[in-house]
Amino acid sequence: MGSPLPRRGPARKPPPVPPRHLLGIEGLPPPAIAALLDEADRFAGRTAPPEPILRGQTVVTCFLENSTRTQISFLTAAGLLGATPIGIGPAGTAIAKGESLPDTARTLGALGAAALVVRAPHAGTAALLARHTTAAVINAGDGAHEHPTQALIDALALRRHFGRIEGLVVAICGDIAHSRVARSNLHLLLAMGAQVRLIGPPTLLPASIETLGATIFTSLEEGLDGADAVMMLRIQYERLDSGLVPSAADYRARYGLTAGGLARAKPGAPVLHPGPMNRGLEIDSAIADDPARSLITEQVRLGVSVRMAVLAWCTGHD
Amino acid sequence: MTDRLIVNARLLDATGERRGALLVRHNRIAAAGPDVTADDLTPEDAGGTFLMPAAIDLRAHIPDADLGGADQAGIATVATYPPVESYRALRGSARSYGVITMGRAGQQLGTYTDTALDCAALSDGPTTLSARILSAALTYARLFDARVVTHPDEPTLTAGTCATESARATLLGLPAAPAAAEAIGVARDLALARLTGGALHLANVTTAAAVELIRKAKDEGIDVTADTSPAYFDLNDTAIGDYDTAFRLCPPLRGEADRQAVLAALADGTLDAIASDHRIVPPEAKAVPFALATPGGAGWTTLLPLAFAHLSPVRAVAALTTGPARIIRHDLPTLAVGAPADLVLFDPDKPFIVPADPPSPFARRPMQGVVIGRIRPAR
Repeated sequence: MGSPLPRRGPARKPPPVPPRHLLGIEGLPPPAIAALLDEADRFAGRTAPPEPILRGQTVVTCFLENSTRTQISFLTAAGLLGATPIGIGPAGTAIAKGESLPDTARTLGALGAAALVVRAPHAGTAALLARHTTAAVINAGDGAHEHPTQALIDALALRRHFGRIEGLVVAICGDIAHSRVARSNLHLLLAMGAQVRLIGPPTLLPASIETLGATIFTSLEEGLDGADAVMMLRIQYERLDSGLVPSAADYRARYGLTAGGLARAKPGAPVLHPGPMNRGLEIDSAIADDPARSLITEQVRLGVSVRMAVLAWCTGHD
Repeated sequence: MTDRLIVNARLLDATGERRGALLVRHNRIAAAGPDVTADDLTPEDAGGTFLMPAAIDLRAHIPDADLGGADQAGIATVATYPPVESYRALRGSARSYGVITMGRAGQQLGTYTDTALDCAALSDGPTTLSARILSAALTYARLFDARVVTHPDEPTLTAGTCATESARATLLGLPAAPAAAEAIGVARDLALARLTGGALHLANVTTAAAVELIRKAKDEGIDVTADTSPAYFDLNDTAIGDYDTAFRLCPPLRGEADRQAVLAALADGTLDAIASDHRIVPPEAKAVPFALATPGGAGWTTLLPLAFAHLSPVRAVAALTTGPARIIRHDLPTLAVGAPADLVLFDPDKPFIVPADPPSPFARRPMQGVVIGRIRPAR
């Protein structure tokens, strides 16, 4: 019962072997999703500083694509758990010298990183790194594939607002074809028993999307009709110039969220957006800034708690 | 040894199969059949395996002209593009396609003379020619009775993509193009062949829609031939799994319905030949995200086993010998009396494991079919 040495802080759990990665929501069992949401909820509601379960460990974020909120919220989350947070990008690292991704992953694992958070422009990058490292790999967005922590944030925001996810009708509108946020949300919301509507221009709906469990709409008004919650996705300006959509004005007219469109959803239906926003394009500022409807700031705020929960889960503290 | 007697073999060529022995005199087949003997020679026992003409590979990417692996895999001749001087040193083993166009812009027809045409077929490799140039090439090549090879595609649909459109590709988030892009290219190339009366060869056909167009065109009398490679009748796009770059190929792997259609087309002769599409990709070019990986993989050791795994022996050997020979106007490989003795002993049941290196879509797979002997014309 008594230990031979005086205790010096919380006992550190050894990391799980093999490492526990979070590469996507697809295939994550609903109990695991619920446990992550519960843990994030606890972190969000804490009144005291969290236990430094990652004290003495390093968490590295490796972002090969621009990001404000995701990278900073991961670094903040790591720091709050007592880890040393280190952020790297392509510039200033050996990646700029041509070091391969597998070698980068191997190196960071050998340098003792407990977790490696990665964002990259190509689908499958997180999976590739996970094959070559002892660190736990967390996908912060890989091309058009998945952005699992964003979906957890969106689900937590909805659950805190409604008290549940099951049975909600959630409408997601935007460039579905190129959206990792849409894919991760689709997996998570369906796994937790919600109904999903995907709305977008026909040229921005991916192949076989109608077989994946959501209802598909090319009319914003019809898609929002009676929805419990509305999630708007950013449209990239490059996409508007690529020949798939006539123009920004046409996109705004048909798929931009205005008061008129929002009125088709259930009264008081909350509005979400993963950010960053193109104000006046896919969403009107008045809606984005309306504290009575917009959950956008809440999503950002919950981001740190969700990422703390994910870091804890990946490193075996759950 | 210019004279040999091989006994106890399954004698196989595109005309059929029979059991017996084969006699080689002065590097040529002197007799083949059930009652063939020769008192002056020690019989070599084939152990009941196939004895067949060595294969002709219509397509392998060998920039360093290294043909070593081909011979051991039962392949006597490899056709390659573009023509490289080092290939000419490998006379007999490598044939160069004539180029279709010269100059960077691909706007000028190549210099075609009888001596420049190593294999009576013209290819610029996997690029898409404009209708104007293809039409001119098909027309001009008639002077030399040469066939023009295209890789059918609609590049404005497939540019920047690495997968075939499907529910799986959507979930993986891979840039994808519809399989129909191939049929669009096939339709255009066939229309130009019809227009010009030229001879067309469609390389690397992988879809049901394309195969259907080729079948109709042949019925109509258009002079068209076509090939595919083993990945497209052995695998479908589920093989990609968790972004396994061994399966990053160009054209990309297709759905199961397309795979079955390609196999049926090989069986009924709509597709005339199987090419290996062999390419040595360095492992580091595969250790990158899927969309960035170099497409292709090694394909020589698996060419014969996969052909024999999926087709009847006579169809398999035809697709590997006489089919390709007609396309490049090579002498038809055969076991007929007088033919050169360039032969393969192939045991279709012998198991092996495809090596993990170099990268290949078949790496690490248990397979059956090993070349256990080669009979080559001796000096």
